[in-house]
Amino acid sequence: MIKTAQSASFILLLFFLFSGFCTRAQVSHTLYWMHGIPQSQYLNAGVQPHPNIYIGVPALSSLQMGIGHSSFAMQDILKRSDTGMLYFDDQGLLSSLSDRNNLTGEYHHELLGFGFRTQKNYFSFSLTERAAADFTYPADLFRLLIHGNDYFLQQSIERGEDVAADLSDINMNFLHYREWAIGYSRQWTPELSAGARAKIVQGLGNVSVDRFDMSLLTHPDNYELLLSSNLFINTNIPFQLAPLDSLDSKASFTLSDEEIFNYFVTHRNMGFALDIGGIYEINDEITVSLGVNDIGFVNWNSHPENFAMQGEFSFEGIEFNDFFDNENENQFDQIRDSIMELFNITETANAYRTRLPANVFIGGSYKVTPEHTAGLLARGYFYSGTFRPSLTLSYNFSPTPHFGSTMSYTIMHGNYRNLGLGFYSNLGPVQIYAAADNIIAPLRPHTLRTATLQLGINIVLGYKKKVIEEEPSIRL
Amino acid sequence: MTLMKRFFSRKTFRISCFMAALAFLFTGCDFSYLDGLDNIEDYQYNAILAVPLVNSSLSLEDIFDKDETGLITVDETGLVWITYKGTLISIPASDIFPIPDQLLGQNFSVMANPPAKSEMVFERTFELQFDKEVNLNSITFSSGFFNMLVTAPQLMADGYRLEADFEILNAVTSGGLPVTGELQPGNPASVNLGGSTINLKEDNNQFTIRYHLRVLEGGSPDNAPYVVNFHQNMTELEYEIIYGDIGAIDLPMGSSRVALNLFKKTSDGEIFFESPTLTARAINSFGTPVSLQFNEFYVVNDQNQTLDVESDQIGNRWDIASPATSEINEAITSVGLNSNNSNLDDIMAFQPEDVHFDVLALINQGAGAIASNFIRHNSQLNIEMEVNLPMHGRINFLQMKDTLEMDFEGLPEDIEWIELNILMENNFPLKVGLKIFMADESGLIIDSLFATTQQQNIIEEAPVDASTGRVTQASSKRTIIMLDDEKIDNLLRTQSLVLRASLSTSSHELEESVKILQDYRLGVQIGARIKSRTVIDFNPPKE
Repeated sequence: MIKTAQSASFILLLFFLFSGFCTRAQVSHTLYWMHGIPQSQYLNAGVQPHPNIYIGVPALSSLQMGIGHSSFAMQDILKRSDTGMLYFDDQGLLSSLSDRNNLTGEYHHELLGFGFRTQKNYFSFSLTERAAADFTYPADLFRLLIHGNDYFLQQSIERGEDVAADLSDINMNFLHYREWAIGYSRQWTPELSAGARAKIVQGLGNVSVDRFDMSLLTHPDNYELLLSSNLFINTNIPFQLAPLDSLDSKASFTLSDEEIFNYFVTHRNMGFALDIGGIYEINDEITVSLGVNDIGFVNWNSHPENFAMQGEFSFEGIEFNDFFDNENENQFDQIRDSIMELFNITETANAYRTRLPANVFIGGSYKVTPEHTAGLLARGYFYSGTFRPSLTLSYNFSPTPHFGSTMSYTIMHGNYRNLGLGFYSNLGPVQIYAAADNIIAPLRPHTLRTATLQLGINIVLGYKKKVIEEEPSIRL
Repeated sequence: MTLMKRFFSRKTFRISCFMAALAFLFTGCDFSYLDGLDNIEDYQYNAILAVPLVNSSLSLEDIFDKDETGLITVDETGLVWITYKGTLISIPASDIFPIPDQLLGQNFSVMANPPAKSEMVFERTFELQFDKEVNLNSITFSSGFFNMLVTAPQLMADGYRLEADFEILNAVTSGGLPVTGELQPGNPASVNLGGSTINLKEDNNQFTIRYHLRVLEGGSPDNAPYVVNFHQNMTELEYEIIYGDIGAIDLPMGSSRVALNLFKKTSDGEIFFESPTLTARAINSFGTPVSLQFNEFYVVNDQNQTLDVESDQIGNRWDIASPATSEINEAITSVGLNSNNSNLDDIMAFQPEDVHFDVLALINQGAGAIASNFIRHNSQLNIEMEVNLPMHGRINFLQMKDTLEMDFEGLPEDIEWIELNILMENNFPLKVGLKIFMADESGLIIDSLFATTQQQNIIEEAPVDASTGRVTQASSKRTIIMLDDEKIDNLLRTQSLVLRASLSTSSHELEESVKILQDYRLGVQIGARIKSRTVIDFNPPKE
């Protein structure tokens, strides 16, 4: 059995490496039930990993990347022509969009991690570099880019009412921080294990949209442009953006070595976060779990910048005499500059606070046999004012404490074709593991909408002994 | 063990499922898209942008260039007038009465016979010479010199010294002191006359100089008596003011012309103004009456046709008043021409571009001549003309032309078409047909902006209440002009726009006059829909 498991794990590892894709993934759902992997406790603070002791190989213990896009994949926007060449299908792009679309990405890189069990308690520590990005956009944004504002002008004419390009709810958020976490879980009863992870958060870079309401109306009479906006954006990045009108195409965004160093060691943007979770065995077959992660915030103080634009701004055209003035050689530049002046942005430098992207996991599993378990996991992802649910069905096979595998099916980001696979294998004290929520994507990259990947190497020692109740030899 | 557990416990089944899954996955591999990313077809970006270009509400002042059409004024009823002003004639004092330098020396000699006759006082007169007969009473000089030289060579050779001084009688300096000077033999003496006033003898333009001559001891009268010579003249003379009788002067002004820019850009058609006026104003600061005799006075249009200006107010001669005393700076004489006392209506309908005149100025002549004149150095006679045209009348297919130096280099090249949406909201009782031609750098017409007659009639006239002549409501007209890629190419070559407009007033065919009031506006809104024709190359060549 062990040899078989080792062979299978080798094949699977090759598979994941051969895939060769580097995705920026979300949290891997597939890892949730794989308690043989110490990093599974990061999804539920109540988990007590199987190894009694684990030490993550520095910088290699957990590398997690993922990407998710709710609308188009490559095949939706690049089509094959009769000549066999690919061409950009702008109508295909537009037809694949919903009213609101979302593109997200996450990156977690554990630099240090270790944990150990003492009796009923499990302690852990990790230092992780984390980054998350989120971009929500309305379909009107691409309609505006592809068709121009004339599209909405014609809509207004046909309907006999004002139809504006709705650019509201555009959301752009980027977050880069370093997390110092200490975890504790305890087997409170034979059925219940619960715990928490406290985290000190060191903010490194941030762009966050506090609010973004914008619409652009082109009036049918004379094509007057009316921009209504209420937006507020905070940034805390190494590059100073203000004043915006001083930026031009030659603006340089390079950093010196000292600036790069300061970026990674700054301690002025501090925050705090908490994970709590628990697992409860209802009976021998059924287990339920609940995990709430990354309830926390970061205070951005080092070099914040704020950009606000509020109000209605209109451009009706320039004066007749200015347009036809013999001395004015730049009529069209003047018109272009007047349109750009619609974007009347005020700049400040006030500190602000952002919340961390939070997750809630609610799961249930059914132990078919001691080696086979079926799982159901619901996840809610909260970030930048949005909530995104997902659902995962999984089949878990763990014949020995030294090997485990999972196959999963996940619905997320409006995608229904996410077939996942995960495994771990302990080759002596060296554990290798990998998990992906969508293994089809790397094989057919043009269909990619969602993909995650998590890899790592740990040193694991000792396992919690299972207490097996023996049937009485004598029955009365 | 339940059936399901038994099922899953079979090792063979589990391995088979696993291998089948792997086989399924690998047979579904498709990387062809990735291979095709190196050779993606160019993308034609055809977005259409709708942008406003112009949004204005133009008054008459905004429309017309006042440098060309004159000053726009408004009367108490709100009616707009166009006023054109110009100076027809300007006669400076130097043209009427120049004072020449008195270079012809008026010399004389006296006899000195020392020691018996060593000191002498005597008077001599100096007569101012003029080109014409004048009888001046006084001259106040602004500049000039009275020059004197005394010579007595034999006297000096015999060892005597000579001193002399002189005083111009009836003359004072600006400070009220006598005008005097001293002489040394052989050394010219010069008295600065600037600010001095010399009162002349009556009827002969002369003034008297008293000399005091002294022969000092120290010589030997071997050759007595001695001749002492006096040489005198006046140079660089400029007067501040002269008094006297300057006599009669004929001053031909010659032929001259004044451009009337008002009609410089018009041709053909008919134009009629209700009650235009032409005012000529003479501003005379000479202390002498002036009459202007018009030998020629006519206007010329763009076809070099002429039309005489006729008026019973001027006739052949126009008498201009003069200030009575030198304390009065100027006298103004005005004469007004209108439709009743002249052929001004015909002149305006003629659309003149120039006014030609040949005038003879008769100064201090005839019944108005006077003997006591005065002329300052800055005296002038200016004849100004002011034409007042009320914007009350009618126009019948008046043709106007203009050229705008304008290029479209700022227009992007990758444009497939441009659709111009022109909305004119017109409060003026004027209908305008417009043709716009594109011309290249050599002025050659290369294309026309408008393709159809309908497009050319870009401004509809506003309806007018015939009883009041006032516009009742604004007219609105929208014109759509499509510029295809050929016209856009020609736009990019354009260096100037040639405009040809045809103007007619509302109800012109009924010969009803309309008014243009101050509050009338022409609303101009121009928007453009621009279709891009940009090619995006997804696989640019690597540098």
